[in-house]
Amino acid sequence: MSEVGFVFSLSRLWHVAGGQVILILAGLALIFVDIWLSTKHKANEGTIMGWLTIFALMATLGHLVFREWSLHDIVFMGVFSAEKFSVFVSCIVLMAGILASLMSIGYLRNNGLARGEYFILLIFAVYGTIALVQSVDLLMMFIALEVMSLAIYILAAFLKGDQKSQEGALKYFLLGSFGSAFFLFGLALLFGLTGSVNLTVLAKTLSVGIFEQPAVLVALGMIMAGLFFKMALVPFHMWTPDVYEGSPAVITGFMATAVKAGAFGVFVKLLFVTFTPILSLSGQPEFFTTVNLASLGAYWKPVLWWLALLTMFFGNLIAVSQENVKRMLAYSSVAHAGYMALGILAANAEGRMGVLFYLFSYTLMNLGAFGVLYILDGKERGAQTLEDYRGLGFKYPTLSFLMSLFLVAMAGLPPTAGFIGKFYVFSAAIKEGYLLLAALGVLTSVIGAYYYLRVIYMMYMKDAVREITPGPVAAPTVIALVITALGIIYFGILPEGLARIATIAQQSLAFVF
Amino acid sequence: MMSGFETIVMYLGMSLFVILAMLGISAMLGPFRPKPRKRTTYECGVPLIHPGQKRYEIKYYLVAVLFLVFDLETVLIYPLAVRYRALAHYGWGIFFEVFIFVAVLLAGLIYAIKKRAIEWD
Repeated sequence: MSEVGFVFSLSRLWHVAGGQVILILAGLALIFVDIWLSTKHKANEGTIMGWLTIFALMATLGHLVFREWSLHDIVFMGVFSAEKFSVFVSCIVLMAGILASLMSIGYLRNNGLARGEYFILLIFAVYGTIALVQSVDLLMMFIALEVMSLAIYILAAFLKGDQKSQEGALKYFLLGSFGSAFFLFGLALLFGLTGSVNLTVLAKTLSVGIFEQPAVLVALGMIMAGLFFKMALVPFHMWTPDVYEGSPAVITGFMATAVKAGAFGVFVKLLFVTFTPILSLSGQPEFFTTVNLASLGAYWKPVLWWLALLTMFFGNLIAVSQENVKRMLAYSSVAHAGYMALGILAANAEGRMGVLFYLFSYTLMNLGAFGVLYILDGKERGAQTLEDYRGLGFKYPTLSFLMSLFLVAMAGLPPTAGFIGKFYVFSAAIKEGYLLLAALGVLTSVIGAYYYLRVIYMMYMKDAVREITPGPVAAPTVIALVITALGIIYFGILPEGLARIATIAQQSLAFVF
Repeated sequence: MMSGFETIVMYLGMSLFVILAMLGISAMLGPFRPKPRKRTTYECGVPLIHPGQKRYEIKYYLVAVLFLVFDLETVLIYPLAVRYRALAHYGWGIFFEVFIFVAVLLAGLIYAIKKRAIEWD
């Protein structure tokens, strides 16, 4: 593909990036709807904006599922691709966006924060994440990463006057900029070496044989470090607990699922399109003799091996000592990133499928848990410590049951989707010979089970020491909680359908060219 | 093996060396006798009335942010206008792309006006 060969075509834009177009237009339109609502219908502003956002996200989801999933024009001007892998990850992001919007309606009402900007920012965050996953151009990837991050920084600071929220948002901003700078510097190095920022052009240029240069490895390391910040793997996880604890509960859920899905999606795409192409693994040397290229795996695999190990251990061990449930969930999300890194490390079809399945099921259970958390909270930071959860099991049986279900799913016990996701990831790792790491992973998930089950133990087997006042349960939140709970059980019992779709999705990475 | 980056590495190494050398030599050779009076902002001037860092009104930041929008607009449109001939093979798409870009910024501007971001009080 030569740089001048790209032709602009409107129908192709609609085919490949139609979902993004819908989101942008919806976001811009909602800005004006919000201005109108804030003068005329101040009381219902949050609710109306929330539902409009949900419709916009649903329309995008429809376009992705019915149009982009089955199309042939997969690359638009060498910037965006709509192969099935990106579409699948985008669907996870949209699902997280829809669930978060449903919960936000109730959350904003409980906290007296009903403002339209919230949903507009949420739409732009979803847009940025989808653009990030769909881009096949490092520069576009960086811009999308920034669009996503800027929206999330503001959302993290949305609890005005709350010190922890402000502190978390500032930390996130500073460290996030640091991570982005790493990404940008790696990008610049690659551009300097190859003269291109397009993933496929890069793959071909690197295959000619300049890949053993230290500069290529430095560039790869820097790009990986930039993405690890967003993925929250252990040496780069320092911002996670403060930001997740400080942000509004629903936004924390969104960050832990959608942003993570986006970062993992783009990381997998980057690795298996450019640095270790799938074609090189499957023995279809259509574009290049790939014996050389695949050897970049020898450089990133040891790094990811250690990071996965550290992430699984530190995430789980530090979560044990947390007294605040929200902060505990933050560390648990770090630990989950470690399990998903294990799937990427396996670098086989099962591993990539496992990562996709894991992201999907993790989105359901994590957002569900944060949904229950915000209701029990009443107002933000009303009741988040383990002490507050004592004796809730009999006073609020439905909420406690749902919380238990989500926590059991996170601990990875059958018959929930959490178990299946862990099973796929670990079995893929074992298949590739990472026996020690898989064994250590199972060991750490036993540590994880301790702190998840401790919350359930507190809820059902201890007497309350303090009266807590959960907020009112809004109807949209009920819908979201029902979807998440049923999804976790359904995909825990019948995972084959989703697994088959994920398998098809990960194969498509071979055809980005 | 080498690819032209070695000069950059050398440059970075040299600058690091120069910085460390300047700071290190002056720290080693120079006398260090601090006194509270020496640490004031103007060692031989009048005493300060109030601290140097003052808090500005939030409105100034708002104006700065709005200015940034237009600044970026210029920064991005100007090079495109200069290089337009070289990009002509993209067809009309590149021409309308600029207007899409301006339209998005315009939406932001109308939002700012409607939210009374540019009214001073």
